[in-house]
Amino acid sequence: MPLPLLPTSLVGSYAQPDWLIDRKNLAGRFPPRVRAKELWRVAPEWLAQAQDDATLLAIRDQERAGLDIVTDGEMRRESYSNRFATALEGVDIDNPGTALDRSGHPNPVPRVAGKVRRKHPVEVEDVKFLRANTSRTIKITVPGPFTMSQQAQNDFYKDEEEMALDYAAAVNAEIKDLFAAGADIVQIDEPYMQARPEKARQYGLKAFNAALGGVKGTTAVHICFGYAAVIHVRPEGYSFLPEFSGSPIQQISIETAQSGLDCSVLEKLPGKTVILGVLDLSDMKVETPEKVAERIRRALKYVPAERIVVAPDCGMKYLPRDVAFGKMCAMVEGTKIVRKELGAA
Amino acid sequence: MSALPLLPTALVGSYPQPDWLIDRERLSKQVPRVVANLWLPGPNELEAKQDEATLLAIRDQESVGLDIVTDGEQRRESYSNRFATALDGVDLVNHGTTLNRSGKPIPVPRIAGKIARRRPVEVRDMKFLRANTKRVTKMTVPGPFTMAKQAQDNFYKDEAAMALDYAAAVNAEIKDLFAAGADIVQIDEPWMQQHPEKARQYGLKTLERALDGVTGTIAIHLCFGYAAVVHDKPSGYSFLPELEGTKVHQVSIEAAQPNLDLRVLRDLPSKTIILGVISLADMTVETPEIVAARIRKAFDHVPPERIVVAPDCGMKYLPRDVAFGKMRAMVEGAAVVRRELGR
Repeated sequence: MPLPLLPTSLVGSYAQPDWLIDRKNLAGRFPPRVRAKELWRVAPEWLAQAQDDATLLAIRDQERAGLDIVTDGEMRRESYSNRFATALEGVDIDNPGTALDRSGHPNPVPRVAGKVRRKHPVEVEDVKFLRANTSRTIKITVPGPFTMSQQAQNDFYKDEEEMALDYAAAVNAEIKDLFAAGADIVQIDEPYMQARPEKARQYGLKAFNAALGGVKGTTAVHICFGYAAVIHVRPEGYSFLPEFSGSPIQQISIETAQSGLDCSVLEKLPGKTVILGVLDLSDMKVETPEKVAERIRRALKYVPAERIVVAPDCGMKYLPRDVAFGKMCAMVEGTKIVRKELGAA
Repeated sequence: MSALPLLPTALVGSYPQPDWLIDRERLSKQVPRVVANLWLPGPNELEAKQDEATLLAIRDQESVGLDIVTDGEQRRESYSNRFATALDGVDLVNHGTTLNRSGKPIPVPRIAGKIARRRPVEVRDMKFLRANTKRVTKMTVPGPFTMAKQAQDNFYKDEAAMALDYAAAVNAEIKDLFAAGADIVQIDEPWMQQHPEKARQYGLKTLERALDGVTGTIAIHLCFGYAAVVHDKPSGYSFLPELEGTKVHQVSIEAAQPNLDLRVLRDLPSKTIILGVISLADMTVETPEIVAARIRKAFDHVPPERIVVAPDCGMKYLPRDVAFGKMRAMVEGAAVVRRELGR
């Protein structure tokens, strides 16, 4: 399906409904890295159907708001990463380990007790469901190899790089399957590249690029400063970003709204499409379309409109659904203003 | 009301409920007339989950392309028991008994005092529907005659008088539903077909009372019973031409499964026919061409301008994927006929 100038899209997740997951509990803890089945509010025998239904509603909300690129809203996930990370071989689920979260607090994480390997496709059914239920361009997200290696306790590998490369092989196989199942765009979520820039430079980027080996199809990466609901302070700039210019990744999703990012950094990503965060997810007030337009214009000084996708700063998982829907609508309206100014409406 | 195309498409009322909402296994056993407690969520989360199921039902209807949208009756165990058990005069502890349309004794509301509507019952549902779709909306209420037949009278000793009080309750509800934004209100009176003598004796008068002072588009649904429950169907209605003299604007009938002799529609020259073109006994999804053929068959007796295209009855008991497929076939079949008519 051909996309308009300045196509609009979610980063990945959409507000999960209260009836499906215990949002209060979810909001009061770090994003789960190990399974947290107790969060679900539907009996195990009907959970899959309820997750499908929540996914349908997430799709319809995105369509109604007028998004050009549609995700599955990650309704089936407790967090963006734990569903994939806990489905792998080599991970001891029953005896979790501990790792420091990006806030510096210890959080239970998968304990790597053997060689990390993908046992079976994890999100392929999700992408098939998404493909079957919308005719728009679709995007699906997978957690990145570097981030997963940081959200794990290594009790097996001699060095972290080796572990990250095995995570990369698992992600690589998944990405190829996702494209084969009908994905138009696959996005790798690598927020920890921003949280741990030294290690990201040491071996993270190598693992990340390995995950893209032999992949055909449009790929994106998302990096951010952490969920607004969990991480409250924001730096003004990314500690890891220009490094992606040498990677085969095509699209880079960054947050600019809440952080008031100096968009001149985008000049250091020539040739990349920028998935531009224009919705502040720490603010429960819905932006005006004019505010959204202004945030898009801020980036136009450094990136041509042809290389911009308009998006929220990050996943909308933690937002109340009416706020999330309102913000999506504002995003679409704001984008229309700029398209018109550019004579592309 | 946004403008409707020729041959608009609509559900009769209900749409399948998700397995995570209601115990569909027990639901399929018997149509409840009293509160049956078939819900799976606990009381604290029931309403939120019913709302969500309703949103899903609305989005399914919209995405398939129905012109008129209902709330799918996701909040009801049956089309009638939610309203019927919310009224004054009903003993909710000690039930009565009556014979259902298959001749089996079933628990029904026991009438121990004067029937009166305590409060609006479906107004929140209507507001929710109105807030969540821009399309033309329809809301169903159980009919006073049917509710009177699905009750054990220990108070009135006069069926007709009891039915008139039911009618007053329904009348107040209908007015509130229109005030809450309903475009069409449909009265479900399946038992008029089941008890045609009594329907003639006092059912029509009851209907008249229910519509007293009502402005707005009114439909009435009559059928032979759910396909899942009633298996043998006659090929003609025992009660139908009688509706020509009433104030209702639209008459919903099942025609697909019973292969109804459509000549009877000539007896309803002033009414819009909500024509059942989807058989709910057959889990095979109709082809659009079959749907189109069923629509065309009616044209010998009713002009296209007076037809709304619909399933035979409520889709409550169907697997959801089958219901969705049948809705789609219905929309495509109606499109085939519209094209033939040059619209």
